[in-house]
Amino acid sequence: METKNILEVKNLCTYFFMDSGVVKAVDGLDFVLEEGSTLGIVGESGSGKSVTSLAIMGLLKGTTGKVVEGEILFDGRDIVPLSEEERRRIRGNEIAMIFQEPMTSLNPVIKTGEQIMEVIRLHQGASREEAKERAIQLLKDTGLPRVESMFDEYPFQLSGGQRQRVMIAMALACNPKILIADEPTTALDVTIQAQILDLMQRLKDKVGTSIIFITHSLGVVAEVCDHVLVMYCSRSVEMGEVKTIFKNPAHPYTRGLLASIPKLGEHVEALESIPGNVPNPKFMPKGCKFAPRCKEAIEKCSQMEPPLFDLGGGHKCRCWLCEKEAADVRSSGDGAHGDCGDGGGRTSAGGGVNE
Amino acid sequence: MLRYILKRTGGILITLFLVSIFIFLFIRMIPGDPARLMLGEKATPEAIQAITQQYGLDKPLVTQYVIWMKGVLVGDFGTSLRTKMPVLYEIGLRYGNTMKLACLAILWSVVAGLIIGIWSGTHASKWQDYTGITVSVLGQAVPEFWIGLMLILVFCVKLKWFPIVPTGTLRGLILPAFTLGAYMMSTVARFTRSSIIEALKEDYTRTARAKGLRERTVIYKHVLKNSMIPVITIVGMQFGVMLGGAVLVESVFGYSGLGLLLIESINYRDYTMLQTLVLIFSLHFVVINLLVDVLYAVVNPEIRLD
Repeated sequence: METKNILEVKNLCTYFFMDSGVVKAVDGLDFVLEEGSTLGIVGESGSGKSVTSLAIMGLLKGTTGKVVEGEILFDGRDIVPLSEEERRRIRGNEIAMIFQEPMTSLNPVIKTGEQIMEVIRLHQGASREEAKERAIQLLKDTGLPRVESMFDEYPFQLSGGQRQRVMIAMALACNPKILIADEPTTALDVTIQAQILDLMQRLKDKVGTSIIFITHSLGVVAEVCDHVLVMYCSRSVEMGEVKTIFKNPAHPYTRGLLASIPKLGEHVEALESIPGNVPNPKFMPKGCKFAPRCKEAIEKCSQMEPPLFDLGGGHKCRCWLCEKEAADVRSSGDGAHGDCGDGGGRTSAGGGVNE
Repeated sequence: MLRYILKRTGGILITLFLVSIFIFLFIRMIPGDPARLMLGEKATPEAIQAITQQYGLDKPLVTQYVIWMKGVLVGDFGTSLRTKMPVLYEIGLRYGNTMKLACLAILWSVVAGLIIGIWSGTHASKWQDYTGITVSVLGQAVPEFWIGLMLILVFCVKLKWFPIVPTGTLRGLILPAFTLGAYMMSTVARFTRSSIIEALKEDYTRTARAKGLRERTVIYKHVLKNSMIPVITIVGMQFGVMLGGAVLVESVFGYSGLGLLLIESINYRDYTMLQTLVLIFSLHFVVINLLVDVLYAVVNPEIRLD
């Protein structure tokens, strides 16, 4: 079955230029987002997942970060070279985003309703009345109670869960083709988390939007995503369909993440954890970035960084241990790893897609 | 809100009462005898004693205070020891001048300070910012009297655009108001700048940008309102200081305001005048504080609705 890719990220390199040096926050990232599907991006803090979303949104302006190489094809068109004005028209309209911190993401001195109306009026040229009607409908769709009175209230009068619902209503105001959710449930209570995930699923089907779900929780991925991309130290280390990854994780890092999820009904003395810390971006290991923490590392790992091996069925893994398996799979897409600027070799596009 | 203001007014009265006690005691601790200063070096002890008795300065402090307070409560603030005129009359002559000067100074300095602050804050670490910082550092570092003297030299003496002695017209007010507001302008600019830089880092600013709003809308609708609280605070405090008379500026320009009156009253140990002036200055401060708090509520709904 041919599915359309609403978003293709090719060899994305986003660097931060600091006084103390260049930090490669995202380094040669490739993935695709199929229309109508949900892609989970998983990784520890600092693995580059939030920076990726900001790069797609075009929100790096004002930071020291910059997309130095690569393409972001939105609906087939590369949006990286677009002017700020053109990017602005896409933001909030065709690609929208919700953030991790519902408590601080709404403007404290502007009424809730106005904050939603604003985006509708901006992108759809609606009148105040039309915008208000639409905003109220959106708020009702998110399952918020007493919407009419809430419309004229300020964010501080709402709870965290309510604020996140407002954020979702705001993000979906213009029926975006892509919704980027950057850890939307991390800051919420567990019960509220489930409700918010549920709401996102429901609205996704209603609006027909595709979702990039950034999270550090594989549990959330299992619940809402179709495909998953695991990031480690600015790179993708594994990608594929959710069920493949959960059933048959190929990368030791992914296996480590999966092992550190507590299982219901199973009594263990201590949860598995991955030893060590994420390396300092300024002192990256020479070979595989994960090698220093990897229990299964072989000699080759610390000498050369593995490319992204294709394991078939859209399942890819950046690990030398997969080399043999990958060789058995006839693949069209394996190749050099995606170092930016030094040779230009890159992995082919293809993330969690059946090719 | 009304209840809040009434409650605050009670606090204001208590503050003023305490201030009246302190000022009454403190000015009497300054060495120097008003009667002697009034009559000069060669006054006879008899004459000094006569004056001391006439003004009740020989009575115990508590009695003196009670007499003064009794008058104050019915609106009689006493007679100036120096000019022998009612203190309120003397103050009234100059109050308008100080008010005009302070208002004009605050007006230009807030407008200019906001413009420079927004300009700097939104272009942090770029040349616009450095220009803004330079202007505001100059405004804070260069002493008022020097700015005043230079302005007089250039615009009054050389160019003859303004009268050397202020006439009370708007034209005469421009140079003193400019001088008085220079420091204030810098303060407003610096506070606005840092406040905007902070607000630009806030999550809600990122949300506003993620909506695809124009940068102008992000700044003026989302950022500015949030960054006004520290600016309001500092403007309020400075305005209180300015209403206390701009001693230096008034001296340099020979401008007849409360600042000059204060200095003269101190030189002559004009107790009644000093007591009243300080009481009025305190009143300015507490009233402005109240206004500032009310303004907070206007800007921040969380305060308003609590």
